[in-house]
Amino acid sequence: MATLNIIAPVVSPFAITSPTTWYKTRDGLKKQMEITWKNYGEYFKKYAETSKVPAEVLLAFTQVESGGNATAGGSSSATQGLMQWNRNYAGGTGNTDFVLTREFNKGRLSQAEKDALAKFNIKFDSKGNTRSITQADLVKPELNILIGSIILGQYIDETWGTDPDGTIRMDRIIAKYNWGIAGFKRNEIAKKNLKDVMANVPAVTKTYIEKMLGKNGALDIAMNDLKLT
Amino acid sequence: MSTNTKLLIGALVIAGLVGGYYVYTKNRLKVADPQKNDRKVLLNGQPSKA
Repeated sequence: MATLNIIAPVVSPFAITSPTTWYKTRDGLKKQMEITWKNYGEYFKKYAETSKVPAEVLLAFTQVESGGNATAGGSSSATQGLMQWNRNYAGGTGNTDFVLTREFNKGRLSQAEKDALAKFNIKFDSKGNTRSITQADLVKPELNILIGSIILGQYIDETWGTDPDGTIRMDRIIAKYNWGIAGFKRNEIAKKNLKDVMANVPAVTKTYIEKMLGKNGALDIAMNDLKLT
Repeated sequence: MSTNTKLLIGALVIAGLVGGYYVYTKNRLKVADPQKNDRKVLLNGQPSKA
């Protein structure tokens, strides 16, 4: 059993603080996250269990990505929904890099996840192909959290997702999740330390890292303030 | 120091390096291997509250 660890808020090698322009106070963000948990806590818990990504992490990503609004982003956006992943890369036919295809082909999908996907009529052929993921799928809270949990689980298990000492590199994971694969690869984020990650990502991604990992940020509050019952 | 002793020390050093590298790579995570059920994620060293 590999035991890994997420550290938040990050204070080393330098302290990060969540911007006050996001939620003006720690209590303000806490109250919003309590609402998000109340609305979707059942799914965060369920898919934390299947993905082995803690519910606190799923909640924090959801809060930063959509503020807990299941239709955030608008109906013309391929990344609409709670966790704002891109439906064009999530599933379909003929691309082994699709999230679901990759998870299936690597033998990572549990029966519970297959059953949950089947509830949304997402089934696999022998090559891991699925039906396309539609705009309507994006705004289904349970399905959005399920696929978001699978994406984050894959990133954690990448060689660059965790340091050899078991510390999960949330800075790199956020960089790829938010910025996408092209910029991540081009700037060799997978090889960079926290300071260099922060210096090499776009401003919006840098702010995202601060919102997630900073003092008074979403992970700080999810891990230290919320009861999550 | 005899040649044989030097060879023995050299062999031991090489064996140590190879063994160390093996342990390092074995413990290193691989891209999306079917290991998520063998993964436990702590938060600041503590289990999830959920």
